[in-house]
Amino acid sequence: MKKILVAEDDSAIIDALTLILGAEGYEVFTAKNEAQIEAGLAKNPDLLLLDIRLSGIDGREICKMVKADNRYSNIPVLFMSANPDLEEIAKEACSDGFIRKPFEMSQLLAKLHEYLS
Amino acid sequence: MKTTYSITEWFTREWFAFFILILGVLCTLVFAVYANQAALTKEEIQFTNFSQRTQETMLNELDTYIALLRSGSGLLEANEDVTLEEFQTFVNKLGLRERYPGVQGLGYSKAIPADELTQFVADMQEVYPEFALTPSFVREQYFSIVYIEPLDERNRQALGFDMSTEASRWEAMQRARDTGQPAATGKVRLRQEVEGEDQAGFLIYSPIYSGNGEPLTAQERNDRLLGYVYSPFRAANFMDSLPFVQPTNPGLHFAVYDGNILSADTLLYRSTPEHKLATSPFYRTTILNAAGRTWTLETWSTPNFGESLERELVPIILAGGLTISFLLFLLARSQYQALLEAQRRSAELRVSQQELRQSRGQYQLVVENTEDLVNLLDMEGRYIYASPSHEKISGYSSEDLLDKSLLDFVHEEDQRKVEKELAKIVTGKTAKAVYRFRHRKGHYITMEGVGSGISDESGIPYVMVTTSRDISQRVELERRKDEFISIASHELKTPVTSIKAYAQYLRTRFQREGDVQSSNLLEKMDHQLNKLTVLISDLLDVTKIEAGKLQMHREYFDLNVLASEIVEELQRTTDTHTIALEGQVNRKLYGDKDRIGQVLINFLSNAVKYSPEGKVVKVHLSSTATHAKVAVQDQGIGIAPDKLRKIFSRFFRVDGNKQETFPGLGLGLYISAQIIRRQKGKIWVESAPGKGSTFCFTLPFRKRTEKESRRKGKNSLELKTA
Repeated sequence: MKKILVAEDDSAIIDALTLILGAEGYEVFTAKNEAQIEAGLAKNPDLLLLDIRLSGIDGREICKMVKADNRYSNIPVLFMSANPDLEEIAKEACSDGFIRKPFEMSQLLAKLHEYLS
Repeated sequence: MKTTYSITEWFTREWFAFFILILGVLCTLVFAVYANQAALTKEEIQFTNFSQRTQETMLNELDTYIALLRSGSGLLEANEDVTLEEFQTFVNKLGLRERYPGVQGLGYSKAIPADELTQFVADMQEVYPEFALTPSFVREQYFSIVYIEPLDERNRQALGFDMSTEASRWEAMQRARDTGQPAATGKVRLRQEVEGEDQAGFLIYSPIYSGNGEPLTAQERNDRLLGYVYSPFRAANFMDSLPFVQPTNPGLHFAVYDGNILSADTLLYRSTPEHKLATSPFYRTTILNAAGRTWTLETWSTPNFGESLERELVPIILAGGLTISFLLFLLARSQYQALLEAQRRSAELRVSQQELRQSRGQYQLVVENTEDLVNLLDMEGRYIYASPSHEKISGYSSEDLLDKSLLDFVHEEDQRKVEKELAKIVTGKTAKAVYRFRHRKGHYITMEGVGSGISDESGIPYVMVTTSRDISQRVELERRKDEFISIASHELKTPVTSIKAYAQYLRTRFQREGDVQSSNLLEKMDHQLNKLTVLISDLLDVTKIEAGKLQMHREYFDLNVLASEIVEELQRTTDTHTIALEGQVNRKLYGDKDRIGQVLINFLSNAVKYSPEGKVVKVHLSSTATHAKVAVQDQGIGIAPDKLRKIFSRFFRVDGNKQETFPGLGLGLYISAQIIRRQKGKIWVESAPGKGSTFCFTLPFRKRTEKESRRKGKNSLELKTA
């Protein structure tokens, strides 16, 4: 069973993603802040779904941190945001891909499948 | 306080020139008078000397002759019977002619008692056959000239003459006889005057007594008188022989008169033909005793006497002094006038300087009180001038910045940009840049600066003028606004995201459970959420467009691929319409792929929305040598011609017939037009009411630079046609 760490500070989205991804057979950990992200990373997730706009911390910094850490550097990181310039941000930062909010469930699942297969 | 004036200050007074003139003239006169006085004094001394010397010399000379006569008397007293030869010898020894040129001769007049007259005449006739005693009238006592040496023709006339018969001579003879002293006659006509011009003459007698010893009384002298040794003098010859007469000053003259009455009758001699003039500056008379006779010596000078240096100086001093005075006057006057002129000019200058200062002052006021920073930089970018506003804005005083380079204060990341802009000024262009400037306290302030060059006559800039302003606040405001928009769109989209996720989750669950009705409701909900998402995005785009912040992320992309993706995606959302893609573009476009996609989506959405009856929407791609063209054709309601133009403006909406309304804010076409225009493309619509619409846009292909042509090769951007 593939493990996905969802870093997102909106509870409603967390709940929705937990429902959707759980139904699709993924094991989902969620994190709302830096400490929870570190704890989640310790569980060796197969993918990090990262909101670039977490309260108190920029997702780009988290991405850099993850990629700089030997233990986690090969975990794919997908940015998730409503920012219209997301594509540019994703290119500039070290992420592996991005998904716009609000997303189509089918698109999300296709993207995850792409990185986890 | 004591006021002192310098010479130059004196020149500032108008009277000074006249003062100089008067002073000069006075000085000149004083000097002239002094020189004249000096000349006069010198002349007076000269004149006095002349008078005294004339007198002394004359008397000395007379004394010499008197001594001569005395010696003659002595000879005859010692030997009463002196022969002619002895007398001649005596006179020759004296060298009378050579040494005593003033005298006519030396003679012997013998007293002859009446009873011895006949014998005497006889004796004399033995020597001089034609001898006669003249005049011959009978009297008690006779005197006869017996010797006169040198015996020339003149003197020969005198032989035998009885001088006692003539009053003037007799008076002198008696005086000589009675006093025992040589005595001179008054003015007489000499016997010797036989030819030529008569001269005044006089004689001096020296008595000869017989016996031994000096006779003491007048009676004894009368009794013992033997005769006289005498000399006749021609006055002119006598005076001319005086040693000083010749070399004397031609302006000095003298005259000698017999007695103290000065007249033509008494005049013995005058050194010049003319008598003295009334204007003679110097004149003197002296009474002399000439062998018991009173003579008057008269001396005078001519008016032009004394051509002395001092006298010559007087006119020179006068002329020179007056000339110099006048020149000084002119000089002082011209100085004064020059000063007036200078004062006038300086007054004018002051006025114009004042005006300049006022206008400069205005500029200075502007420059020094503006909130903007006004700078002068040299062509290397070093500060020549920095306005005082720096102090307030950057913390540096004008002096702090002087000679420092602008670039030293610019943030490292902005230096290249600023350098590039400054380089534009060198080529005569205007520079414009937003950059960060290091505050004195270390933090950076954001500046917006413009600069241009000041050129010399040849058009080469030699100094840069820049003005910059602190836009930190504005930048910060804009940053906050951007942040707000970003947050707002984030905050709006976040709940939409979760709702959409729930809706989709539920829809899949209902589908699985076979509840088709619920599944369809949730699908409609999902569509509405998509519209809401588009609206949120459009609002955000419009805000960005208004702020001029709609950013384009340009890249090369294949329009064919983009179009087919979008057509495919939109086809999924509609069951009522068929979207057909036709044609191709043969080159890659350079532009913002997402934004161009957004335009195409907008065109297609509108086509579907406004053609409720229509079944087919056509997307036609084509390209020319320079442009790609996209046309989206529907079979909808069309647009009235009067509205064609307005369709791309903000918040414009097409009204259908009255039964139908179309949702939307009317932002889509406005945003599309902005996107296309920002990428130098054209956007338009061809339509007629009831006949459908064709929305088109074109975009230019990018001209490849030479570099790209070389590197990438010619075919890289061209697409294979199928």
